[in-house]
Amino acid sequence: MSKKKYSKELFLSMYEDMVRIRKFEIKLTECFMKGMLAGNIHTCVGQEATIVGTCYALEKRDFITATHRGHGHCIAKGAKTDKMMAELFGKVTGYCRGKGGSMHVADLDLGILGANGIVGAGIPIATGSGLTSKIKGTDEVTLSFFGDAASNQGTFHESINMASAWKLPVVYLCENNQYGVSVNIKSVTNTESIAVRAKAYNIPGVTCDGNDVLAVFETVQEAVAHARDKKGPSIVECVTYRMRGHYEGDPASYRSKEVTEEWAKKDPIKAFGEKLLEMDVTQEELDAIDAAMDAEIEAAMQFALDSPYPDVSEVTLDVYASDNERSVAR
Amino acid sequence: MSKLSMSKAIREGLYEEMLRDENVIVVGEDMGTMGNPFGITLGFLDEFGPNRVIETPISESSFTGMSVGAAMRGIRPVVELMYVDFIGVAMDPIMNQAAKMRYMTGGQVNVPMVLRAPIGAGRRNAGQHSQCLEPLFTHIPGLKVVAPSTPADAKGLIKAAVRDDDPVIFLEHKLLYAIKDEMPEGEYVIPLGKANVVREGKDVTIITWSRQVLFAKEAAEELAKEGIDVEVIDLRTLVPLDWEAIKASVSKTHNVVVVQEGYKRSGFAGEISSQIMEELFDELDSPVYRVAGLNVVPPFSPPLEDAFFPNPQDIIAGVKKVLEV
Amino acid sequence: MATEIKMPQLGLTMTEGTIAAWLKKVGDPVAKGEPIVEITTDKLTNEIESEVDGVLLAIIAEEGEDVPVQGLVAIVGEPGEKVEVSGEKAEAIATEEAPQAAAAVAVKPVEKSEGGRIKVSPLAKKTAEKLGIDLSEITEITGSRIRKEDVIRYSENKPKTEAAPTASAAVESAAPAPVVAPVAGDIVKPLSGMRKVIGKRMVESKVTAPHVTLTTEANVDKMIALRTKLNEKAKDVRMSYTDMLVKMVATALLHVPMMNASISGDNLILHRDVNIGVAVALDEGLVVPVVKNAERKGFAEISKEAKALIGKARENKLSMDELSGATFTISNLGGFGIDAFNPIINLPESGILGVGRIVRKPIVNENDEIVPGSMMALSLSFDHRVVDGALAAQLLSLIKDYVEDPDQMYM
Repeated sequence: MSKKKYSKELFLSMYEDMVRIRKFEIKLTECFMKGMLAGNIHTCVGQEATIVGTCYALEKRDFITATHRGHGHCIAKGAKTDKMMAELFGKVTGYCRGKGGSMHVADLDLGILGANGIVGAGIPIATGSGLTSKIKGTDEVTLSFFGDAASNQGTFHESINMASAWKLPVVYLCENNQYGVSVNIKSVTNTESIAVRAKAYNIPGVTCDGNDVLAVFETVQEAVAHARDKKGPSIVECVTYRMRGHYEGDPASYRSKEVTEEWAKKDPIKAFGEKLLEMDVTQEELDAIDAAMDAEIEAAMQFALDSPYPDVSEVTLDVYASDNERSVAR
Repeated sequence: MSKLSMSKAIREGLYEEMLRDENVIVVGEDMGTMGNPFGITLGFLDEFGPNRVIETPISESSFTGMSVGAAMRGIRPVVELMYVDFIGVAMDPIMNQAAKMRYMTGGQVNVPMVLRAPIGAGRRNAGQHSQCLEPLFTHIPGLKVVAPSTPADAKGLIKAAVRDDDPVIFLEHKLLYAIKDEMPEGEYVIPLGKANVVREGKDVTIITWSRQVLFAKEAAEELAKEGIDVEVIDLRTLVPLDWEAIKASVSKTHNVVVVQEGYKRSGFAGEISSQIMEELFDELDSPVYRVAGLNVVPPFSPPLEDAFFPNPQDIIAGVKKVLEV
Repeated sequence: MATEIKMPQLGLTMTEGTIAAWLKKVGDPVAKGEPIVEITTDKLTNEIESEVDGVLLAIIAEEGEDVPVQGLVAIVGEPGEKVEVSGEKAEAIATEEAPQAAAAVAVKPVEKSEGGRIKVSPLAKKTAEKLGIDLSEITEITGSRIRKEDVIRYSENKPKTEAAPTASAAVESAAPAPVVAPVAGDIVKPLSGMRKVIGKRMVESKVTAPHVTLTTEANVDKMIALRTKLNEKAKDVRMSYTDMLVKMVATALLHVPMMNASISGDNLILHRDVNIGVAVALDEGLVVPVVKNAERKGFAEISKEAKALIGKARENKLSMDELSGATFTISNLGGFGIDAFNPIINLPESGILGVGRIVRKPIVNENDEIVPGSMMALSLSFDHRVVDGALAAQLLSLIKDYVEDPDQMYM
């Protein structure tokens, strides 16, 4: 790792996004406990290095598909925390006018082809986006986030098989946080890694430390360059850990406290902060980022609280692009 | 006026749309050199190249899902399931992705794709290749559903489906593919959601679609000999439903038989029957009756299969039951 | 050559008419100008006359059926002529054998389900209601439930007039409404179309609009004087008190627009024009022709117009337009010697003024002297959904002011 070739601004920006995601989600957990949030909240606390390292390897014109644990993916790809927060509060000012909620944030202008509530469903969608770039002869790369559990869906095999057969510009990014709800990946999969499956498709497959933002950044950069050069897809596996339950309210009693405590010591934000201090970054600079993020998230929540709910008449709106009224009526 | 079979008519419609709009692509199994088992895409690979004729592996779930992703990016994929029965492995991209994407994103993104799928019994294809399954699609908000009965309609409707910004399920009855009929001259599009009164009558209305339209017309001619004047409505599109056409006809004849090939239980005929009951109750002079396929697995043995789905005699019996004659 | 008899358009607002009664049967000879069928709209009853001499070849629309304007109703032509009926109404083509063939329908008794409930189709039920037929009277049907055809057949075969029902029929027709059994010497007549319409509309008004009636008495000495003066001047018209009241009420309504209004769903429509309906009693019932824009017309013009309308009403020649669009109605029973009465609102209007006779009475004048005066009772019924008592009282007292001193109208 040659840290020298990157600017201090880039590192601070990465750090800021990791803190932004963390504080956004911690705020969500607080709101959830106070009964202010409806529905399910899946946080990615502990996985911020994987998410931020990955998205920093992408260009603005590139596309992603996110998962049900997708707040971080969207924020790292450029989504604003106020519109995100409003969406999660079901307000009309949210990214999807409050109609999608936590699991369905999307913004096509930011290249976010949607978070997805169905495990493994984003993989073929990303593949289709890759196909589009190939058909149109453009050079955007599409990256599909999915978890270790999704790698056991049929769509994983079908999509990567097609993408490799046709050399589609797609990066299949497995966030291996080791649990599909309560089931440890090791108990349902016989291989040491997910990335090893790349051999079956004759494409590159790499596993990296998902709690090291720079390791992720550099690994994904290579995969993105491979795709952009029209050499086809690859699999990148980032090994990390989901620090909280599957969703808020899940005590995660199915896994050992000791293991979780071990992972807590490897907190990606803390680790990256320490690394930055070893370089020419001061504690004051990190504290300033912390304070700025506190203020931003507080303002985002206030924006969400102050925003109106969608008018009830919107309930039948936008089911169809054309002939909506008649198609909804009967 | 030239005559064309329905498979050729659909091919012609797709061909015209691919010429018109370079974003239109076809996706599915055996779409290339073979040109699909029914010749729908014969010659397309040579004409449009492999970038627009996507011959897929047998991966229905992912090539359908892939088409959703491409449609979100502005491509207009026309996906083919070789048989509608295979929807079982490709339902998530249709039901949870294509159908919901616009609504869940607050209107940000459309999924302008067409899913073409052959339907229907009568070819001795047995349990897993003979179903109709319309209600699987009509049940899901966000999908439009089309099922033509003639070559001319099929061409005009496939063009409308390709141009539509919503996901359209286009159901083609296998036993209609070879039937030839007159084709209109020149380029034309038939709008979705418009039914066709294929026979006017005053005593009873038969509402149906796809192959059963042919059977209903046969039944109507037989009944005319007995002095029963039957009106036949070919819905052509199930969603959006042409309620005005249904209402006008029911208000005229006051007696209704809804005919569908698929399983009777929870079929779309039941949906139409309910809507008539809810909104046109006072127009009815008899209970709405459904003539439909049996609630059994499509059998292989020819005499069993023939007993499985409605034929003109069943429709005649249904009409007489309603009119109590 | 066969001639098609169609539903006439009896006014701009008419869109359809209901066949009330056939006055001729298929096969009957008809003369040009002879009425062949009675129709009703929600406003009037009328007869359609044959346009040619010939035979009624076919009845296309049955009694109780709604037919759109210009819709085919019947066909008249040469005896035995074959008729092609185009379009949707290809009803029995009548040749001489036809009626017998129709009569030969296989019938069976009505089946009752457990608990004695009669099975009947929704359309048959609606048709029976329109024709005023008690379903329990129908005993013979062709299928398993009473259908429209059964109702029509029963209606056609039912004795039309003066036929007392048999004892068994009277017992069977145990409808929830009290049944009056006629005794020997009683005359039983079917309700005319107009009576049915009036009945329906009056019931509708009473159950829909909460009525409140305000009553006051007005001294009409000055009004009498004015009328005498106007009638002396005018040569061609003789002004009635009703004519004068039309003008006065119209002027008063300009000041209380809330009473010149109609409820339409969740909205209140405040009418721009003041159109005053004038109730006219006829032998067979009641019609309400309309003086349009009465607020803009003078006494003489109103009087001339009202006379013409009443004349037409008596000859049953009013058009639908002349019967439509009233925003307020006046009903004057003074001519029948009535002191005062509570009129029923003519929906969708919001008020009606009931006018009593003029009677000489002792009254107390401003000097506390008892003097004779000509008094007239004015009763205003209003729809309490639209306005409350105060506003209605304001209207009535304004009318009273004008009646007592017509000059005030111009102030």
